Amino acid sequence: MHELSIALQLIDQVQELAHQRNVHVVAVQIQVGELSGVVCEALQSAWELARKATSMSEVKLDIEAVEAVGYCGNCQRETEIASIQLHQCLQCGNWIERIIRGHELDIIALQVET
Amino acid sequence: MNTQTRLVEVRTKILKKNDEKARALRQRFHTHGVYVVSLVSSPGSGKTLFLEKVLKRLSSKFKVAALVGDLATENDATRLARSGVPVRQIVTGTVCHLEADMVENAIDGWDLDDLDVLLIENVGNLVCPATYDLGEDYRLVLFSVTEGEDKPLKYPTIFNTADAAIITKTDLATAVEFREDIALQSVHSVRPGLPVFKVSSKTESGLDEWISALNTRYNDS
Repeated sequence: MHELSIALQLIDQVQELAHQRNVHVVAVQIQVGELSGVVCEALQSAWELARKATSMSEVKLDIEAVEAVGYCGNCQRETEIASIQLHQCLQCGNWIERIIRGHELDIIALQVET
Repeated sequence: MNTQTRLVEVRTKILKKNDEKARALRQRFHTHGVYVVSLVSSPGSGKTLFLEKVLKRLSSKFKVAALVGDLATENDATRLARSGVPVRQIVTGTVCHLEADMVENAIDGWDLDDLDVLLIENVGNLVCPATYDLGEDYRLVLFSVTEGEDKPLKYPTIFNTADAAIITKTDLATAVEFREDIALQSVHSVRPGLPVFKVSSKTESGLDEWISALNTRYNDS
């Protein structure tokens, strides 16, 4: 499981962003895609552990899970996929051409004290 | 909460450092004309024997080298060094996957102008390597006939980051009653259109097909 190493890199990044902007961070909002290879619950636990000995021991982590979305060549548009085990368009049943969303592992915003 | 807060939008990758390092590595490899192939699979699916046979075949045409990742031991590097090509082991300690900076450190001192193809064997793990870009051009995911036809369904993420899949140990297919049709269905269900190669590194069947596909990709790169 690599969630702890992800949490440590997240802490480094947030500390750097907070330093650049000279802000005091209260919470971090991130997006985790269904196909990112990261388990949200494991990352949340890893975060609780990793933040302890840092300047961010009180900082909350808000994780938004992002469902995988594909592009269907037949419907010529974005489409929900049946599941990550079945990359079929939910509208027409054709195989999707590519994944458009679902690989996210992004920091979206910082909640900071004013 | 007593203190007032506001939201500052940042929109950046959590693994920004690894992504940037991987991008720089890819650029560096391209500048020196090195084509990079990475291999991922679960432990014991036959990455090292596949590499051993592939290095031997490729070395007649290309200047090749390999990096092999493991949590512990230098066994794989020692074994592969017998092929006569430059091989380095990356011992990750407790880390369950390779990261771009480990690759960068491992190639330190190598003259990249003297290389055409670099093969990187990741740590045996079908979960964590999916998240890390290593700067490779071509990522292969391997699974053996002894692991079951539904491996792709259990690990869809890694199949989604791969450029091709290889079914290994096909010489054992009959003995373990491996159903190729079901395995192919599993691959294409999680990744429609992904090229699949069937290989027995032991008997060397199917190796030429993969090497010819690699040649095409190398020439197009």
